[in-house]
Amino acid sequence: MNRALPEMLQWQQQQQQQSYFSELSGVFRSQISHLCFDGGFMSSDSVVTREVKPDNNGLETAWPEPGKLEMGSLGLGFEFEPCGPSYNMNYAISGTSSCPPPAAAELVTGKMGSAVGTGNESFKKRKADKLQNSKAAVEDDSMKKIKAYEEDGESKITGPSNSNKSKHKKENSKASEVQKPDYIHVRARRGQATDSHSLAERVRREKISERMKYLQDLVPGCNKITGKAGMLDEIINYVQSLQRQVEFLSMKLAAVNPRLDFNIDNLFTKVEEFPAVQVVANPIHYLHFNPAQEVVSETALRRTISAPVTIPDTSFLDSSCFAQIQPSATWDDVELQNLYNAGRFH
Amino acid sequence: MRPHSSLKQEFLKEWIKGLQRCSFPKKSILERKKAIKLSADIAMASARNGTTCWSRALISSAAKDGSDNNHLVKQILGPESDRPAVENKAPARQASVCKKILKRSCRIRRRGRRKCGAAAAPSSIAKHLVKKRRQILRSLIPGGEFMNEICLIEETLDYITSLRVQVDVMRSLATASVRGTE
Repeated sequence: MNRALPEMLQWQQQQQQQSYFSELSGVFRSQISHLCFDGGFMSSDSVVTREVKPDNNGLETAWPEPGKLEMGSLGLGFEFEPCGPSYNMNYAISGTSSCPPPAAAELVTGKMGSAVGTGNESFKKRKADKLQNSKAAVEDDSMKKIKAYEEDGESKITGPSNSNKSKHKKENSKASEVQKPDYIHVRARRGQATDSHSLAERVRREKISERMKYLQDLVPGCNKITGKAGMLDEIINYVQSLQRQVEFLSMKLAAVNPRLDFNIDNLFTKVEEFPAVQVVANPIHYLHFNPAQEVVSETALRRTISAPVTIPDTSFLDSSCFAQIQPSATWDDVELQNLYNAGRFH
Repeated sequence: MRPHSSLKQEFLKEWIKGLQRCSFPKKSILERKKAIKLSADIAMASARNGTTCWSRALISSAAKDGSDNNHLVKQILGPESDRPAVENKAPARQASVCKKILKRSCRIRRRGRRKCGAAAAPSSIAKHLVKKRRQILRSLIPGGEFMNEICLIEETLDYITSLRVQVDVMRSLATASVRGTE
């Protein structure tokens, strides 16, 4: 049997690698682990399959290399499942033991003969310190005893003398790293529903609230308001006031220019003087990103927008567009600059 | 967010182009105002290059509005942009028909619900308030009737920024022309 050991191990590894690329990889691997386990402890198949099988996915992620299989199987085949930190292990096993997969159990019995040797041999050879524990457990067939052994083994793992501990932990962390990406997009907190509909709904709501935050930054005076209805109110008011300003300004332009000829010389001078204001305006908006300052400058801007200009036709417009804007001063470029500077050094 | 200054320049360019195209003597001040406003709106929409829903909706609604408006819009947009406006007409009509049907069905359903007469929970009241305001916002933003909630908020963001740009440019132009006449 000792001679046959390397071959057996190889066979096991091959099996392992094959199963990596097959659809039923989880089932196969769990079988292997069961077999090794059986060889070590001579316990009944059904118990073992019950315990280990439900953690197929965990096994898949936990054993990236075939070499580590032996370590896991000879050490604590059933405790190896990456269910997070070590104190979770017992809980996980006892929780999963209630769902017996009959098909896997049958398969295990079919392959029992060949695997017993491997498990046993690897066990004896690799881990002498584990052997005592396993022999103690060999006599016990019942599930309770096995569980007791699990606890025993676990305490040993957490003990200071075992070098297995760090490896286990490493693999656990590795497994958790691998498993995390499945949940990184949508994370359900405690007590939240996890079915796909509510997850999608949560994502949607998060998106909406994110955009609402942007709107809050954009709309002046919206920062203090909590609650969606109030925010929407403010946004509506702002959009309406902007639209009314456009109306008003177009009316003003129509009043100022009796004929719609904006001749090009005039326009060029306007375009020339337009960036001059911009140069003053830009540093505030794009060098200082403090939102409070932005709001200050914006409110200042709005006030200057509504600076009263005497036009004969203002009676057309309803005065409600000035409801929230107090006309502060007469329009002047110099004053605008002053306002911007004040906003910058606030 | 896009830098304001480049957007402003683009808007001003478009607007001046539009104004020059429709620069014929108008009789009343209201007509002139209408032309200016329409040209400003369309310039704002075309400064966005049709990347946003509201700008497309604005142009298409302005194009199909009335015969007078249509004429103006054609003038402002110029000959090269005739075709898309015509193409936009059919789906808009279909959508309006669909909307009517939907409204009718909603009315029927609401009647049924009211007969049930369940006591309204505070959360449902809040939801109703938010829904009402969302409807108002939808009516304010061009093309907002056909948007879902996320799209509506995004478009509102974009619309507010471009409205600001529009107001800024119009104000500076108005002050400049006021100073010119004085």
